[in-house]
Amino acid sequence: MAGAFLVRRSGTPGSGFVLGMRASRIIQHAIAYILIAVFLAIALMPLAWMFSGAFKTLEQMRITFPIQWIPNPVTLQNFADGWQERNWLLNLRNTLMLAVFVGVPTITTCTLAAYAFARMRFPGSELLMLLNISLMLIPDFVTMVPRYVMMARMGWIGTWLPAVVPSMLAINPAMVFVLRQFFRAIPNELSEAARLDGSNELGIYWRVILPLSKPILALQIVLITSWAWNDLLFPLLYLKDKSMQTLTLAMMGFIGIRGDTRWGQMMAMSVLVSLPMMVLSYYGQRYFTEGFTLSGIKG
Amino acid sequence: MTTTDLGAQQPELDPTESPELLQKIARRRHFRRRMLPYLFILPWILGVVTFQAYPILDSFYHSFTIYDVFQPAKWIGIRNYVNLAGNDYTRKALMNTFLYVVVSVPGGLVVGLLQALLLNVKVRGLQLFRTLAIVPGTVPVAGAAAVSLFIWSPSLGLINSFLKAFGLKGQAWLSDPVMVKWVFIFMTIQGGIGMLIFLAGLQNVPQELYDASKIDGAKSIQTLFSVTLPMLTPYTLFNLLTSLIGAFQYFAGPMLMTGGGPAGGSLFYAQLIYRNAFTFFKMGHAAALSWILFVISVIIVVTVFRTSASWVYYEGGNN
Repeated sequence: MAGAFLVRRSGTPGSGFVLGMRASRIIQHAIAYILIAVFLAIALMPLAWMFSGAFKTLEQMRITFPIQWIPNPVTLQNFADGWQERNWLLNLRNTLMLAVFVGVPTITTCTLAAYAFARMRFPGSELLMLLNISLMLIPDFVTMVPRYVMMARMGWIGTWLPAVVPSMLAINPAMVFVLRQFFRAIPNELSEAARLDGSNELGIYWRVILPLSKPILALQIVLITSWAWNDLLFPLLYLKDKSMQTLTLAMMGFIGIRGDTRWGQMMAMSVLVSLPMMVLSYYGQRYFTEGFTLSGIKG
Repeated sequence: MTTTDLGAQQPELDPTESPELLQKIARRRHFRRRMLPYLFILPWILGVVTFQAYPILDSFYHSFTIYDVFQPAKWIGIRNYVNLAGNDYTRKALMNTFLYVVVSVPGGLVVGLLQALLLNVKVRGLQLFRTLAIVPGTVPVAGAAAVSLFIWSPSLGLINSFLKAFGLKGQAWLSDPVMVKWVFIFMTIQGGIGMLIFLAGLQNVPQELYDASKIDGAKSIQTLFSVTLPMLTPYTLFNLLTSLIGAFQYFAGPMLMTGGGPAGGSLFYAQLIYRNAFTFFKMGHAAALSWILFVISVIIVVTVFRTSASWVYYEGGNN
């Protein structure tokens, strides 16, 4: 593939000396631009089509050839119609509630566990960490059925308890692992200084480790919010009631009623549902890179 | 909860007066210090026991039963496993999943790698290109599903419009039981998160290695195979594991877009478990499927890690 030829050419001194070399570099860059353009066009096309469709009239949408990218005339009717179909604000509230109900307890208990795994020595810690890593790789679908039966026996279906209770018990092995990697990288001198000042372990956790872990904690908040915004399985099992449905579940019902006249509404609501996540992910991006490099794969 | 100044809590006793008491306090303090880490991980331990270990064992037991939640489970031996491929429906889902895993996992790795290499070429505007490349992955699954339905729609869809532009005939992509799985495979390969991870990996390849390879007179393609790809292997390992495990959990896309249809054409493993459990209330059957998934996952992880020593390169020795 042409991409292979293009790895890292610039920045090396002397590469522009020979005229032939410079010419070949120009050609390589031209090829790179073309390939990047093709790749981005394919990747961004659905998004462009979503935005374009959201503002199109039905008449214009029916013109399939030539392809109409720019809506003309621009209409907001799709947004008005789609908005009336469902109680979207309630779905938004439920999505945010799910994020909070899962996020707050999970982050609390996972940071505590990660602190012990990263900064305290105790018999069995390595074995338990190994167990944690293995659990990271076990698909949710393995435990889905018995967990549901358990929750049903407790009479918790139709309440928020299936979200809250497992979260209070640090059910997020990936988070425990990532946090532990991050905590381990914090210099020990800082904890020692706090210890000399009379801090106990809980104090060190609270006043030294957590404040220094803001980027990774921000990343976890972004990840959990995006989970609540994206997950289908959990709401499908536990938040089926109309009053508890999240945005994903609401969209599922909304998408389910198809027909060519509804594409405009569907695109309009997709834009509304997607925009907040796109903005959040954009700002969360730097935390992603930061957290990823620090906690990384090469641990 | 203080753990350090135990003595300060009992000012009425002067511990120095009685060696016995002193010893007792020291022992208790020691005990508390030793127990403290377990206190920190107590919620985690309880979670592992109640929501991980117990469900796995429970589904093992129920995989040998007929169970519909409403009536007590009835032991039927290994019938759930034997009958697994007995019905047409399950067979279809297994075949679909096999095809999906075999095509989309390697395909996704290769495409993700190529995308990352492309976004690592030092051209002007690179930062903008990278940002743009990340955007599609930030669209929530519900939005992406709605747009995909629209794009692949037979009457007003973008894909058929493109085909028409080239004088080709449009297809009813999502209502064709064979075509539909290829649509999902294509979507998975094209929009994977692997690119991001490879891109992060490429940033960690030391420039010295490229320079050295250049001094040695290596061509770009040689550099790719002798420097870039070996240095990326830890990231490849990560992507391989997550995409393999993820492929067996592929759920939201088909659930939102086709519900597994038409005629089971886009029914994959995760949805098979879901349907058995929550549509047909065949919990025993679902438990057997869950356990098979568990065993498959374990085999995948063990095999990948076992073989990884021979192809994954870690800086500063293997670890």
